[in-house]
Amino acid sequence: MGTIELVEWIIDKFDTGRHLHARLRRAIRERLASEHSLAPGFELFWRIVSAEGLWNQPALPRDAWHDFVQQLPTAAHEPWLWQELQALFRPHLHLAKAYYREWRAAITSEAGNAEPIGESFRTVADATVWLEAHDQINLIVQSIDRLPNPADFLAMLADPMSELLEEALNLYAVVGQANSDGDPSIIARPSVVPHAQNHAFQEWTILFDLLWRAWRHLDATAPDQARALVRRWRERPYFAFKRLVLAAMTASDNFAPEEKLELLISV
Amino acid sequence: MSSTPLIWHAGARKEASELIEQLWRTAGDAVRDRLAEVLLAGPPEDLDGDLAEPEQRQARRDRRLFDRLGLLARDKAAPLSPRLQSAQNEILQRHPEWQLREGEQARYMVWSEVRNGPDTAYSVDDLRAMEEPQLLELLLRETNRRQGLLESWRQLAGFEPERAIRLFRTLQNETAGGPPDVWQTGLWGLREAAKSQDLQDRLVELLNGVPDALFGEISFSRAVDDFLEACSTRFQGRPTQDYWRLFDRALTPAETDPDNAESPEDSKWVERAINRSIGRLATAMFNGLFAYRLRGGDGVPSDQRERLNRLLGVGQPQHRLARVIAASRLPYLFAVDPDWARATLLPCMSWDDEEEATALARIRLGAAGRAGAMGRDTVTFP
Repeated sequence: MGTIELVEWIIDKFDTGRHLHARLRRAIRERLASEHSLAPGFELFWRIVSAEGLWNQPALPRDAWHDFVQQLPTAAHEPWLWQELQALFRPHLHLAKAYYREWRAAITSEAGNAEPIGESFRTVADATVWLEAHDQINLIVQSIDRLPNPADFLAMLADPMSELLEEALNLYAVVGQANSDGDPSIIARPSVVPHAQNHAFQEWTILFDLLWRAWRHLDATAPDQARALVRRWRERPYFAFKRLVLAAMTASDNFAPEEKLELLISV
Repeated sequence: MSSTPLIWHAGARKEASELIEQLWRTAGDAVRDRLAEVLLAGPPEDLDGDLAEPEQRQARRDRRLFDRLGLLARDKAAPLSPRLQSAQNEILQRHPEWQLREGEQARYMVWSEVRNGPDTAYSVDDLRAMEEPQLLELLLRETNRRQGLLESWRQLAGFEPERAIRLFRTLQNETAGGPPDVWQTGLWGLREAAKSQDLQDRLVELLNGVPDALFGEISFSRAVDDFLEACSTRFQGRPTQDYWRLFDRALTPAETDPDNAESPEDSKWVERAINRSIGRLATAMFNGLFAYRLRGGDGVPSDQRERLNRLLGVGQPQHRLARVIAASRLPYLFAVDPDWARATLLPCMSWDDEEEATALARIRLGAAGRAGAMGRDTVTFP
């Protein structure tokens, strides 16, 4: 389990949609319980791939988005449809072979010896967050845009969308990339407010767009709810939410300058 | 737990900058005074603790303040207070070379610009403005950033197909038919235009006239395969004899194209088949057969049987991707010519050759799953 070849073999299997058999998963966990010399990066990798939860793999059929798009126009106010939407946006970890090893090997002559493989997770594998609907996310958003009042629809789902964003960051926290002081949103979402600099290379950042539209609508039509939403964002444990609060309060007339300054100088 | 106030946090620079600017521009004196105090106090000492040298730490502190004050100073409606202006002047005395980045870039920690396609000295409009001899000369000789030039040429061919055909006719007379990369990219550009029957016929005739040497260039022959496939999606009647003649010329190099013989490591046979030369030719072939409007039991037309068998090349690994495409048309082929299907295609699914059977069965089962309607008894493996 301490070899990169086995790790990459597993990643190849995951790439073809395969998953570890329940008995193999259990065997890996048993080995982890008794194996104390495994380097931390390898240990975390095996924890992730042997997990029983569905946070390390997609759970829905690839064409699950299709029926949602068909049903949305007539069922936008049905609670079951909101559940379906959340299911399609559910984040999970996607593992790929570590790019770190490749580029670090290329610059060894200038930069000295690389970090030993296994020392940290990034030397073992790359982890990104994917959403269930994956490359069909934009089709779902387009179908929402075709509703008579898409902003109403999104505002109604502001809290579930916030939960999904937090869950995406929870997954990054698993691999040590997210906390209250920083997370991948800094690079993947250069501007919380929709902007051409947001190249949307990472699909989970679409949640910022949806949340921003929900927030703007609430701020214009239901200021109390908008303030309450900001209050809840401030309680969430990741840096992305601090940026979200900064952007939201800047864009709103419903916060006093003193409140805005207090936020700016807060940690 | 973070100890860096958001006003100084590099990761929140965009959002914090906008709020600083807004407060400086619109807030009352008390808030502006407090904001100025915070700015003048500078970032926490430990923020730059990673730098060993005091001069380096001071320079970074200076830069943090310089960038924020610079944004405020740009707004002429709300000039810096004398104390802030003085602080900015002091920084500029220490670092006279510093400048604020232009426009919106000044608010971003990282500014990135994405451009599609390779670098080029010639845009599509540049090529469009050229006379034909000049354009031909450029395509024949230019080596500087050639990939970008060819990308512009590809786009031009798509916008002005008649012009591309005229250029091809001239190119045909060059030694060995001219550079294969000009043909390749031009044909890619004509892919959409090839769906018009008239233009398709003229291009087929033109390609039938190019020297054999050009078909020896894999980049050219692959582009022809791609073109034949594009043509086949819009047949308005049975394909012409000229079309099949071009097909046969293209099939010869495809039979030795090394990319066709490789097995995909990820078992994605379908993706592999539709993106390789022999798979494209197979798609073109079956679309061509479909244009015959055959009915159940009509049989594979006699003038196509030999070509079809050659394409599928039963037993030859470099033809396997053609058989993968054929497997995706199995119900149709079985209905049209059950005897041929039994004799030719179904034996390929025998588990005697596990790799072949996996490749062909995967597409059948995958198609069944997508359709959601195919029972397990639809295809009986011999």
